Amino acid sequence: MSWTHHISRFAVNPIKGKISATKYEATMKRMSLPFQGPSEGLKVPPHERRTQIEKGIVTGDLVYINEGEHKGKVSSVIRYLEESDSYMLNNVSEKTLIPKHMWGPGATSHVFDYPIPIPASHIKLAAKDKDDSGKINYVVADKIAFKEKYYDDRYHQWLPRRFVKFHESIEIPWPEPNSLKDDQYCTIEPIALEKSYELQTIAKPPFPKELLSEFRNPYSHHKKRVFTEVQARRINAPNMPLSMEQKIYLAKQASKPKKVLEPLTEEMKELIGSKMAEHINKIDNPALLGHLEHVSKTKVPDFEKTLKSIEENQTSN
Amino acid sequence: MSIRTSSRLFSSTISRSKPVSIVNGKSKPLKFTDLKTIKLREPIIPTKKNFDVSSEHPLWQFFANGSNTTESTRSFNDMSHGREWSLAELRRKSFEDLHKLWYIVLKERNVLAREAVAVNGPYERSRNAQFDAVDQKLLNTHKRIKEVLLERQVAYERVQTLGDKQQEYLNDFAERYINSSNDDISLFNEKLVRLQYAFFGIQPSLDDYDLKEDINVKFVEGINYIANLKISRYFKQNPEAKESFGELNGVKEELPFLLYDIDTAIQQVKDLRASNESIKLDKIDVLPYLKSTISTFIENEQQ
Repeated sequence: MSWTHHISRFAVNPIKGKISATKYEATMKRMSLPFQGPSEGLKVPPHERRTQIEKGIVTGDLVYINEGEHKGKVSSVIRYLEESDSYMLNNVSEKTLIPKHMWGPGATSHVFDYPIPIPASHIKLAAKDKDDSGKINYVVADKIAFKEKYYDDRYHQWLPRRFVKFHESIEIPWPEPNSLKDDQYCTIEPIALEKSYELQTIAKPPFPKELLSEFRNPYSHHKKRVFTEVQARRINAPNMPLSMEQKIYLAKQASKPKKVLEPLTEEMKELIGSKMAEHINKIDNPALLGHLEHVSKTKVPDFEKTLKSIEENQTSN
Repeated sequence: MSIRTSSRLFSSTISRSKPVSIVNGKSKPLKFTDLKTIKLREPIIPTKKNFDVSSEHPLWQFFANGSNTTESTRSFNDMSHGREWSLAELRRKSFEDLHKLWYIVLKERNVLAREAVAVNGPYERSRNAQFDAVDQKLLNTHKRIKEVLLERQVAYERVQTLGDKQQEYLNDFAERYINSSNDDISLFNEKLVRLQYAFFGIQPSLDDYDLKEDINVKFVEGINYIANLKISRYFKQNPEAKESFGELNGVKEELPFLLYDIDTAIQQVKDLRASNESIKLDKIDVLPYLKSTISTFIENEQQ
């Protein structure tokens, strides 16, 4: 959310991919005035952007340009552009026309030397070293290796040590950072670091309870115990429409009298018993007999249910 | 005409209705009077000099320099170049400080939003990266303030579920307190003051009491704990008093142990019992009784 610019859901947004980045860039180039120069575009999507320290080259570092128009130059970094993954370097600039209202302090001409953004792939980290005889040597690191972190007092943060990859005896220390001056809006350090909170009681909430609804939404749909109609519809299967044949079949079934189970008569029991005895008497194999014995002991739940329903029928009659 | 009247209907009614002179009650078309008699005055140029606005007008708060503003927007150099507040820094700040900071940041965001409209115009494609960058920092600060407060709230809620562990600690402390020697008792009493604030929210000094908020169920539990603790230690040292004294009966007998030292408290309980005023209060009467008694006690102390 931003208060400083208006965002429309329907406007073309190259970051969200409604339009291809190249197409967007071409449009921007066509629309921009000469002094604006070629549009850098939004080459790097936000989730792929890296900070200077993650890239390993920060403002103030010495770099060597190994590709492009300015190949062979050694210069220092002025600024890193995260959006386009490119660096602005000292003395690598282009004369551009700038309208008067955009002149910087002390400018006297429309022609202005403006640094060209150099893609990160075109530059390598470099370092200067003086040997004992006073001769200056340059080292260019093809790749950078990071090692254990240390707390850097100048940057006020933990930084990894930087080495030339595959020549890890050569350390390239981080450069002196730009000293930041406090402006009128900055809180001075002693006040910023002053401690005014200490947990002393677990019996009192940390802030007035009326404020809690600012942090947690009491009307959140995750907290609702009643389903909305749409949710209920999703959970329950719909009633399927029936064809004419199905309806006739169901009507017929309904009109039939209900099946009533009745207990076996003595005659039936005798018949079943005699048939089973006849069958079992034929068996000689003791293993099979043992198996039948075992099977006869297992309880069949359906059988018990049937017996129960028979009993119920008898009592109701 | 209701609010829901469509604009089309609204415009049609306007075009149909004719201007009506109210004086005569008859419809009469509007007419200019004699144009020669109308005097035209000089146009008022819309500059700042021609407007007189009170320096205390609340809308000045939308300007960074308040009523001393000379230009509609600040230059880039005048804007904030600092960084946002970090979580670690905000965690050190009390609720009051965070509350203040929240509104300072909110005001600054409002100023920025107004300036951005002045700079960008109403066009959605045009946007100023500098405004966005500063606004993002302010927004991050806002999010972090919320995160810090919510962290504290979650911690507070979790600790309420650890009733067993709290009880374990209280029992352990009670045992140490009862068995403490006379040399250590002042040290233990200091500890008890801290403990009663930590567990039951009972303020260490009487001036800090907020009778509306502080006297609650936890407070009653705290009084019960403290009274039983003190009387158990007293009985351990004077076993002969135990049988004649018996057990404490409700809040009325427990409160003196919070307000006075042990000997005075015991004397007060005895007086209460002698005057037949030692009744066990109903639950609904407990908090009003405590509020009234403690407020009168505080008044007496101040005199």
